[in-house]
Amino acid sequence: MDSSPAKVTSTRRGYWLSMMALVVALPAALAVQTWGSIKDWRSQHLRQPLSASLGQPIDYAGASWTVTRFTRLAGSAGSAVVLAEFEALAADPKALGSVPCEVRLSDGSGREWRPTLFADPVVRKQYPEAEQRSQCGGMAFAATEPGKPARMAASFSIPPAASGLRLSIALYSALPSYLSVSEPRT
Amino acid sequence: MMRMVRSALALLLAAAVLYGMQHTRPLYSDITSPIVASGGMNKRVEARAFALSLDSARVARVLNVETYGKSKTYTSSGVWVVVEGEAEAKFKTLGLTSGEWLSRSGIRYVLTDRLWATIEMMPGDVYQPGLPRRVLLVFEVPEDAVAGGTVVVAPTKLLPLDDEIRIATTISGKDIEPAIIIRRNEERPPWTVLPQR
Repeated sequence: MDSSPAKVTSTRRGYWLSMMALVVALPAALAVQTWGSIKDWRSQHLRQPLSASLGQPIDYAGASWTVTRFTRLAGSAGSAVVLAEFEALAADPKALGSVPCEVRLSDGSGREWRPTLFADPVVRKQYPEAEQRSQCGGMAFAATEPGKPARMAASFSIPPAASGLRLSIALYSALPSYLSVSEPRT
Repeated sequence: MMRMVRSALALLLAAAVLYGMQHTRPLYSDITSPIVASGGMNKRVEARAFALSLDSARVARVLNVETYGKSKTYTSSGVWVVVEGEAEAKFKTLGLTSGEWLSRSGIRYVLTDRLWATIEMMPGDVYQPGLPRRVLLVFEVPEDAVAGGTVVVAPTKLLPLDDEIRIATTISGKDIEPAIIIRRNEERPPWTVLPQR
């Protein structure tokens, strides 16, 4: 076996070069493997709010959005009902019709409610016109003529003690930005 | 010579370690199995995303379901297990789409699909954070699968590492009622199990 100083130096250099390459290659391989998952996680979890207040129009996802009602009612079975009505004025409503829309209500402690499929009877009684409105998404935009606002509504069933409520409206084409409106103080 | 022996031993050791790792490797289904929270009857069992308590588990040979003034009788070659309780989402609105009866011998029975059109069972409901909701689970199982059975509830069976709650019932398998009535209500809870105990 050749154990001349030159051969030993060359072997050592090869060894340390390999180790250094490993330090670079291993994280790079992990990053390449997980990049898709990281992108998915970012799109789902990292979001930037566009804050607006009740009645204030704000440009978002190619339309001018206005939350026209954000009110809390006494619901059935000891729950509270939050009714939100909002509209979007878009130059081309049909273009927004195919974009998924996500409406959520959250409170100060981080709990999050999805809209109920059917409005509570109290909504039907006090705001019958709200029941005629579509939920956010394709149906609402498909039925709207250019130049007219798409009118939408969402109702939520929440515990009466929930406080610090915020309504969020997210169109998937505009993520990570989403609209955020706080419950008005009465 | 010594160097060669050392190399051969190192090679053998590496092969033995690899062989051991290969044969003790957990299955993918084990690695991604649900995260289980367990408990007993009449206790609130908390998983990360939801909480569940069961307060009644009854067994009957015949099930009568009364809806809109009509009664329908469901017989079985086994028995009916009717379980009631309360579920609550903790942080986000969710559905509880999976309910199973796990027998003492390890066999799983899913919720009966014979009552879907007549009565509202757990998977059809939506659970909102902070609003506990009554749940009804009905299983059709062989008589010998009743004693010591466990109710297993999960938001879904499809997601890896999802929550699962297991509640061990106290059913002995000897107290089988001849018949149980599930009556549909117009108000909440949307059913009543009769005769009341």
